[in-house]
Amino acid sequence: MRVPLLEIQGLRVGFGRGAYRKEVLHGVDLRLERGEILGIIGESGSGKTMTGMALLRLLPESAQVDQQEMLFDGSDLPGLDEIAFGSLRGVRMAMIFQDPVGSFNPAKRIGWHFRQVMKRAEVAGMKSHTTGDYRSRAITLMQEVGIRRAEESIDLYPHQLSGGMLQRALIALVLALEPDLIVADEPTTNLDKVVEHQILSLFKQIQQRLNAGMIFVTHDMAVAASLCDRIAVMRYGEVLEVAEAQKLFADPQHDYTKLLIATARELSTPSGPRQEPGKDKPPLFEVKNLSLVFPPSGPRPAFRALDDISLDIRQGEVIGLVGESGSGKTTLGRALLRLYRPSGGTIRYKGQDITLASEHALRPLRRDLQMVFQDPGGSFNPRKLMKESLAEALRAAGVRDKREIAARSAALLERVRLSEEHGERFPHELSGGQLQRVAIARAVALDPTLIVADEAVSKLDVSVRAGVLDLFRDIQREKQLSMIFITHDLEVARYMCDRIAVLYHGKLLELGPTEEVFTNPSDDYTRTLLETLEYSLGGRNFGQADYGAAARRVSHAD
Amino acid sequence: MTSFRRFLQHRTGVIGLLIVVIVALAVLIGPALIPYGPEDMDFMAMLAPPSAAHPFGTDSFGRDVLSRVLLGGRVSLLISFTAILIAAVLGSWIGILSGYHMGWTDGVLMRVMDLLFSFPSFILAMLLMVLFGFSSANIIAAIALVYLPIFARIARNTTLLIREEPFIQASRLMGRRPAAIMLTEILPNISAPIMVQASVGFAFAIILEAGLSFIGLGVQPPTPSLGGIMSDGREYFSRAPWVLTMSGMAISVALLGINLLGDGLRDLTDPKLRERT
Amino acid sequence: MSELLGTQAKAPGLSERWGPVALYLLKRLLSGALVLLAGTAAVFFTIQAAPGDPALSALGEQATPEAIAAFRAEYGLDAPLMVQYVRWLLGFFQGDLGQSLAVARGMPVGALVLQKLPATVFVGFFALFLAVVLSLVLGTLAALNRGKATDTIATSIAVFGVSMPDFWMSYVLIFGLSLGLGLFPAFGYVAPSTSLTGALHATFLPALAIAAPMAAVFARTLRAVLIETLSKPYVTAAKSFGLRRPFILVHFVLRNAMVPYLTVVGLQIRYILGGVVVVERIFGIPGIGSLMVDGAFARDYNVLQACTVVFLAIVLLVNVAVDMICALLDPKQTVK
Repeated sequence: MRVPLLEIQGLRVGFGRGAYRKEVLHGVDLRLERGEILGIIGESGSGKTMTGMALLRLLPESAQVDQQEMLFDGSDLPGLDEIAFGSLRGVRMAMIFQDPVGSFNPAKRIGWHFRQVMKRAEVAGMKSHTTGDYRSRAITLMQEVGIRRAEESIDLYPHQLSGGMLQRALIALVLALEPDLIVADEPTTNLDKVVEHQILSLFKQIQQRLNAGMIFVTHDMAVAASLCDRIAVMRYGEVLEVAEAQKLFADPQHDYTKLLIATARELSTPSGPRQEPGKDKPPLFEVKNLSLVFPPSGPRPAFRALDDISLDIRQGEVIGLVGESGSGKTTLGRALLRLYRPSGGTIRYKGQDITLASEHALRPLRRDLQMVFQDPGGSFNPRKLMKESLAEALRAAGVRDKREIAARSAALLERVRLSEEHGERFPHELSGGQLQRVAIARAVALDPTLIVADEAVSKLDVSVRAGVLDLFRDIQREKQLSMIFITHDLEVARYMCDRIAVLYHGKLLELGPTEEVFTNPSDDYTRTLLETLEYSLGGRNFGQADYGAAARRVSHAD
Repeated sequence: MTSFRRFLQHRTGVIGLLIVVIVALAVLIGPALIPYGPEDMDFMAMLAPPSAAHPFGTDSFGRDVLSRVLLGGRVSLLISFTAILIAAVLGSWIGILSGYHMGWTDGVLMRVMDLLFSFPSFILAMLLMVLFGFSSANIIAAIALVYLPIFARIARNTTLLIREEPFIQASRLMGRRPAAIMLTEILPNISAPIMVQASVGFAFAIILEAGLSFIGLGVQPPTPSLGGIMSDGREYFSRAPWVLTMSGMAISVALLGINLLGDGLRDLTDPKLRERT
Repeated sequence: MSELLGTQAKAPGLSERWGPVALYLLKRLLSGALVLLAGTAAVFFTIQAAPGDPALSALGEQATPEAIAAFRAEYGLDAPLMVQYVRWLLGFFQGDLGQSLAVARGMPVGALVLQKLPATVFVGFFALFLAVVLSLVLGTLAALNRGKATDTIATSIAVFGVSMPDFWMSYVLIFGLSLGLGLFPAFGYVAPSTSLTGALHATFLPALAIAAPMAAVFARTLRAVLIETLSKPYVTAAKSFGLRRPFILVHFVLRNAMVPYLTVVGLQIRYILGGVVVVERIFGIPGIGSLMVDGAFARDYNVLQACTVVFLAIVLLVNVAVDMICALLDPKQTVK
């Protein structure tokens, strides 16, 4: 019988001792063949990352690892001492991390990393490279993973390269080792969608070339489906089910898997009929030729974040601002609320020019214009109970009577499907989804005309995302609010928005009704962006990893 | 309440707190329990070594060293504490104002703080003492001025960090007044690093005050102070080392307690350094 | 390493970054000069604003009005304040810091300062050196053995260190190493130009007394910074590539911990110089610190002013040097 590349049984990981001991992995079984990609899917806290770290002995010393069996290529891993294990790690086993920027030594050039890793692999004696010319080999590898101008990039420092380029460099480093086992821990999560797809196709290529076994950890169903041969679903430190990728999506066994897939599918259809608010009424906001330049600070030169942007926001519509990181979508949202001072152009709110209005002049308007933030944890004063934060908003809205404040905040909590008991808690005692619900309640408490939601669901787990989105939509309909929905996630935008504005490098590329933008985009960049959607759960190319076309077209965008 | 309970699990922090409480009690009520006043001279027992009657010995005038150390400790601790309190309150105010408003307020205030911060602390304090006289109020003012920029910087930097936090922005969007935001949203959230710095600063202020009095530019005799007693003691430290040693150890014990307490506070407030259990 | 250097022909080293670093240095020196200028003005006008009359304190309370007027005319104290300041500043640029009013009456302060400066600089740098070496050992040991006995011992030493003011530490050292063991002198100074070993021997105790509390502060900082650096993702990544632990410690951990560590060292210079003043008195070292204390007791404002400005200049210079080292160590500050 063929020996599997990796066989894990009963893997347990715990932290702390005695009564304080907390187990985070409760007996995980996994098997991996050569040339196979095994996906591990799970939400935060599922223990998916811990599994790979335990395998490579990268957990902090305070972790206790225990297993019934852990065989790598037939040899017993726990039985190896540090020296013997050292001849495997970084030689036959390698890891790729979520944060490519943090994975490089900030004080050293890219080339230095290659030299050290290659040298060490040779000293370990496992690889038989004929020459010691690290530099030219490193450049070749960097070209293979698609790093442009590799001869120059090799002499740059990590902070001079983009996240996508650094992730490529990290993959090239792993490629230099020619390992038998690669553990990739959410390697594309921090990257923009278009770049993510390029990197995924790169993964497929190198995995086929090395014929290595790969464990691919991710929270993204579509990513796993497109890359993995088999998928293991994890929750709370346990593997719920393992199946062939196609079979898992066609016929999920576990209820949790079904929920995950259903949630992801739900987003592929609109949440309800699109609104077409009357064009006869004057718009709520009129933005003309808006631009914003951040002045230089320290080593950073001046930066034009918004460039000649014009748009109208009508009463009761939801506008999606989509674009990749650095496109200016968050800046635009904040500039509309006058949290930033524009450098040019005009912003009119209800006909009043607020472009350069002073903080003092803005105060009476502030309550009309609310925001829900990306980071649920930072949205509340950590020292205040949730009900105190709500009470503060109600007081700002002019409610003075204590009993009325209490009654109203209880009603608000109920409106966002929480109970009064949640009001008695501190921010750190609530989950991200619950915090985001309270944030919505707080915004609504001020009875605004506009809510700007800045990536409001991107930090939430997939399973709670739809619930928060629906809450947004319900409240928006109920109060006939206008909303600006800032997101990098096209599915979320399609699900939520009546109109879509696409931003790129601070410029507004197009603005139109959602269906029109999605079916018939007028800009090339939008088209490239939309192509990534085809690989999502409802998309035409779901489960495939051929991103070649997209990769070629936008190589300039990275 | 919860954070206090967490503090109680910090072993060295609790030891520090205990030492600080004991030292505080000793200097506040100790002098009343000792049969000798700090000025009472006993010409029969000049430079007497430590004994049951005089646990810390006596000095060249036959004065009880324990009594002088306790009273001197009271003077030194009160001066240092008041100075740090003033520096912390004023510094936080300047720092928050500067960090929240940015712009030219920030520019002007911080340049002044930078200038103050560039002078060696002891030199600046010494110069001010010489120029303005040796009263306790002047010592307090000099020490406070020396530490002012440290608090202002910390307050400003933490304010800059949290002013972009969503919950501050949310407060702005509620249309609340800047003063209210600074007071209820920012101040409580920068108080932790200020507290930690205050404990460190308290220790340094004690050293600074003792140093000034030691060279004779601080608290003037006959008022006892820890530095002053040490200074007396060095004149005859080979014949009667206890005067210098006992007062020096008294300073060290007080500093040890404050430093341990400060460590406890810092570990409590800095999640990066908090032990994982 | 030689086989590496051979292949590295095209990989430029630090040299390529000298350009931006030199520019950075120039900028820092310029801003340092501005602070110094502002500092001189602040000191000058503070002294003028202070109560007390230098003529009275130099000549005594019984001085006749004529003598006081003559004294004022002699030292230019009768001119308007701005004129006095500009005069002082012009003199300052030519190395003329006025004349001593009391400490060494009539002697040029500039000469006095130059005469005393070497001792202070020597003891100061000796102390800084000791503090850095001690703290590197203690801090690294503590961080790498976190939670173990070595850590407990090292952090305890550090806590006791910060609880020992330098003047009290001086006497502990005198009791122990001088009067007790007779290893070092308890008093006196030997100039390094006379005998370097003699100078090191004579100033070891004062330097150590200044260094000990500083070493404790540095060590605690280094420990905290190292612990934080150890948890950085690039350290885990380096481990995953199988790089050896000592190599990771030197090139990934210590290398990146140096910038925050040195920043704290730079900030503490002002305390070291404060320590110099008191310790110079105790050990009888003829430095700027002693001169300033003499000037303080004699109310010799010219000497006080000159000493303060010299101390300020030293702090600013050392800070520029520290910033330079940090800029060289941290590519983010100088590249793009």
